[in-house]
Amino acid sequence: MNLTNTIDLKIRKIFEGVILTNSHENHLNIIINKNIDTYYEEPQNIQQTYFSFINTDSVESFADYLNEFWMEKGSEGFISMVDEMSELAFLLSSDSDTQSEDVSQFIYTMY
Amino acid sequence: MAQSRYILGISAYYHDSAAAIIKDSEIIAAAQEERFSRVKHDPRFPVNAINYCIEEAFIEASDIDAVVFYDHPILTYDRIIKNCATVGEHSYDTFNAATKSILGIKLWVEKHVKQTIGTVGKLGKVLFAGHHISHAASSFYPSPYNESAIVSVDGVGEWSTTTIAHGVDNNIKLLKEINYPNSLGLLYSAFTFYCGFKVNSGEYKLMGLAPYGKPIYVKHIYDNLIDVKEDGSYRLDMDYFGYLDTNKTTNQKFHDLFGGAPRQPESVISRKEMDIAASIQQVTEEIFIKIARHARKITGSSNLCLSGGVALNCVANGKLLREKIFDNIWIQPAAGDAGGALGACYVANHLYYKEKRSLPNGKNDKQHGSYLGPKYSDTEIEAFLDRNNYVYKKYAETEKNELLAKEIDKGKIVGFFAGRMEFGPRSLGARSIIGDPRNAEMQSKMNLKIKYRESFRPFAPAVLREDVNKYFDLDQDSPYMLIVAPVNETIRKQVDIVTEHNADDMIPIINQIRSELPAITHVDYSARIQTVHKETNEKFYNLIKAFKQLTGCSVLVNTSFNVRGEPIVCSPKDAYLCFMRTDIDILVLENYILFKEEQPKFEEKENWQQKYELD
Repeated sequence: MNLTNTIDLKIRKIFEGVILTNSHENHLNIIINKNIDTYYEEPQNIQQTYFSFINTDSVESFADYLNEFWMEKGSEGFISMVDEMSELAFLLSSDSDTQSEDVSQFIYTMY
Repeated sequence: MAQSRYILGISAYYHDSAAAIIKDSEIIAAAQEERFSRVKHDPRFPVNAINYCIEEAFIEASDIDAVVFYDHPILTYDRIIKNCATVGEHSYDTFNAATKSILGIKLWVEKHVKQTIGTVGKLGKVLFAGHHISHAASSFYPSPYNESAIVSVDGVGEWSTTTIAHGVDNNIKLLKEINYPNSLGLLYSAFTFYCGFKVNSGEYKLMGLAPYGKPIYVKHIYDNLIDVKEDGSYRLDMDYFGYLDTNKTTNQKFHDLFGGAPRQPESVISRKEMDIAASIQQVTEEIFIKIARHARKITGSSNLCLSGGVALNCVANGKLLREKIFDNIWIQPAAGDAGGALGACYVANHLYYKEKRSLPNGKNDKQHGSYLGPKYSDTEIEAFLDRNNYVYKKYAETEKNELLAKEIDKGKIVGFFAGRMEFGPRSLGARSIIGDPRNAEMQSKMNLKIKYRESFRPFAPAVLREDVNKYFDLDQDSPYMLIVAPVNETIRKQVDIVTEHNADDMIPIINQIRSELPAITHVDYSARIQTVHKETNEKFYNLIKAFKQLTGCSVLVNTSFNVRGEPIVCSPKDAYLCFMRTDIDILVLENYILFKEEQPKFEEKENWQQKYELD
């Protein structure tokens, strides 16, 4: 199996394990409520919102980072596959070319 | 003596990659990657801009204390994952693309920095600054204020789309935010797409189109698309938008609401698009003003700093100014993502290292006129010209300005290249195309034969600061062309009312002579003003002064030195190519003047019309 197939299979697996597992609830503020006075929110994630480091020294340390990140956010439902996500990140890292003449669609997106 | 601290800031991977470097709180250099790579809005890692910044600072990469990135990729990934989980099975394509983008590229900034300059600085790791705190920092720290309300409004950065913060001394505290998918920037972009312009670059055109229309859809927008509270907070009805589960901003329900499919790019602009543009512009201004009022209320400040892509909406900025909610307003000229590179530097300096601020003297800011890019010496320019056998003559400053003033008065168009290149999307007299604003044919000539762009788009006036109120209803600094104000009644001219109200086509409306300065007077008698200051750009100031001495007019048309779809020129070579590919008559490279008719036969070596994709 080539690298591209391996990556796509891993993404599909994470999609099913994380996205579909958590798809029974709404995670976005999209309800219009005419009866409240404000939609402003208090800033969350104070440290990451200001400045922070991301630990990508190894697959294990990045998995630990993701685990801690979602625990702190109260998003425990998203930590089930942090090991797979971390492995995927390291695989993708070796497969990416950020400076090609043809700008990658995966760089220039709204994501 | 304490050693200086150098901080390199980077923004990349969205649109308008850029780098900036500061030394002990002072900006040394800042530039967008597109200017070097010649790819408009280049999102790639800004290798060239980083190398330029280090060169300009006259240091080795190993002298850098910290490297800071302007965005937190895992916070963004958190948003994407929760977006996809909310959508469910249909979000697979979004998840697949976003995962490859974020986990495959955006996470690895440290690796890309090391590949580019061999180090991540003395700190040993890349520091990730939040997207909106970077925006806020980019406007507060270079501003002249020790204390200020700070408002940042953009499409989206991580989760935030709108933030209100308070800056005091060297600290910034975020107070309120509005989060994705509710976004004033994405709302404006949805209409940009619907009216047939490109998202992330055509917003400026929509703003320019708005005065041609009537805001007849305002109630329609409020009734269906957005619920706005008195404090300016808002929520979108996502049933009408496509960006939760597709890569489109609008969906079929949105199209049905406005009576049909989006306008095809480059097709005729109808009355409908004009009215839609007028409507969303009014809604944006009303929300923007409410947000500003709330910022004033919760901070108690009489100063306001603005940033984020929506702060480039200079019409809304002008309206906000005239509301007099704040005594003083300062807007970061690189208000979009490029400015995030500069903001990230300041986040590291003042929030991470807790460095004290040193305020600029008097009312001046610390942005240095936004002339923060490369400049070229006479030696470099002369070598370039001689190497290519181009015909030129070198002039002394006064003689040069007298000559240019006469040529501009005769209707000639000048490519003006002087000093350090501007940081931000506007040309401010360092890389500008200039002409006579009194000339009735100047707008169409510049649009169609120089810029090759849509004929409705207005041009901006560059005016001597001391004369601004002679021509415009404005008597304050606007050095970054970020404020629109009315042309004074005294210089306005009567237009043909029948044409004005009944023409379905824009051309007869555009061609009406509206003032003594028709080339810079927009259809609603407004103008996007740049005040020119001797302290920040003496060369440009002296040229306008020479034009005033000759003609009595202290205004020039100022537009960016490029053609449509091309990044603004950076080097003498870029400037020469643009000069020869267009109907620009005269090229000025510092003190060297080149006349088109004297140049050797120009042989085009590339298909530049294809290279520069229409924006």
